[in-house]
Amino acid sequence: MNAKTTRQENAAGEHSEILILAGGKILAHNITPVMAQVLSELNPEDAAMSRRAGRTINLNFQTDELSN
Amino acid sequence: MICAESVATICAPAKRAEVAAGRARMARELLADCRLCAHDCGVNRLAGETGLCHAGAEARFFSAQIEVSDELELIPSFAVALSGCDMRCDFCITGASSWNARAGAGFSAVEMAAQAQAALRAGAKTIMVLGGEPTIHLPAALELVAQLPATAKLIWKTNAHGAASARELLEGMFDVWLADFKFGNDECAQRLARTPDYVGVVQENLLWAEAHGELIVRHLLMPGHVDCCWRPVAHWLAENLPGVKVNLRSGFWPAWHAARHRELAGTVPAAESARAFELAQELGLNLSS
Repeated sequence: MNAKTTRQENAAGEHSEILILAGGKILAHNITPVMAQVLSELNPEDAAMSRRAGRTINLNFQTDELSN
Repeated sequence: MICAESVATICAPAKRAEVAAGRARMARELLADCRLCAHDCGVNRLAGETGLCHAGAEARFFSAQIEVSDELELIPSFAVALSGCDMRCDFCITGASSWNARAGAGFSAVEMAAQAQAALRAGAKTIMVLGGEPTIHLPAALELVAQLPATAKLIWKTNAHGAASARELLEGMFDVWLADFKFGNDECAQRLARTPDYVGVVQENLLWAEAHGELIVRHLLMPGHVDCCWRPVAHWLAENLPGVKVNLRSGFWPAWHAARHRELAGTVPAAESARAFELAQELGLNLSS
């Protein structure tokens, strides 16, 4: 399968993983609020992701299509 | 239930921490003859022996962060992922940490509770304990509950393969059981997750969870497994747990060792996914997202 998986981790050690399929579909898991905002901006028509991105959280907190 | 003076299924919040502390001690004693999951190994984890999960006496964790991946009614959630699992799903999306009980960092209930409380102040709605499989680290999970504020909404995210002795100690501790029903037959469970006698164990746990609190059942659609796995799961849920919230997940990710199985090398075809959701609707399942 032609796909690219990426583990994204910020300075606080938070991480999400995304899998980009050859057809352009994106799967994600361990979605942080920041990643939800990114995914929502990538596809504004994804209503489910918009709702996840809209959950209010203090993004300065330090600390699927949802998958397996 | 142990907090017997309460007629409610969930322990009165003010008592939860106290009850959890006592049960954590009981759970730790059980490690001397560990039968917390249905594998029923009987090893002495306190003496360094390990069973199929390879977990020792002390828990480790590989992730603790606020996430918005789970059911909309539960997010944002502060999710604490404990290392190690009693199942060996070849398609596990966190296989490197879930198959390795030594992965990640040492777990301190006090420190994790402090992080969880900071997350709640930042806007997290729930605190979720997961794995791997948290049941194999029941003492640590209960120690965490004992440190958490009485009003925190707690989620137990599980593969539902725990033993009766474990679930008795969990009664009243978590507000919601978020439980997987992965396989619709024992042959698929054995072949894909090396777990024998799977279906009966999970069904018993789901019935118990629904009778003792709020339950959400998850099924991850696997490519090529609509008829052998989803169909029997869906029919059983419709007949035995009518109205229970069901999250049918279509985002199968061919992770970890999925490629060992030809049918799991890709994602779920759109036609299979559509057929699975049609079946859910025909059976009147209460789908949630």
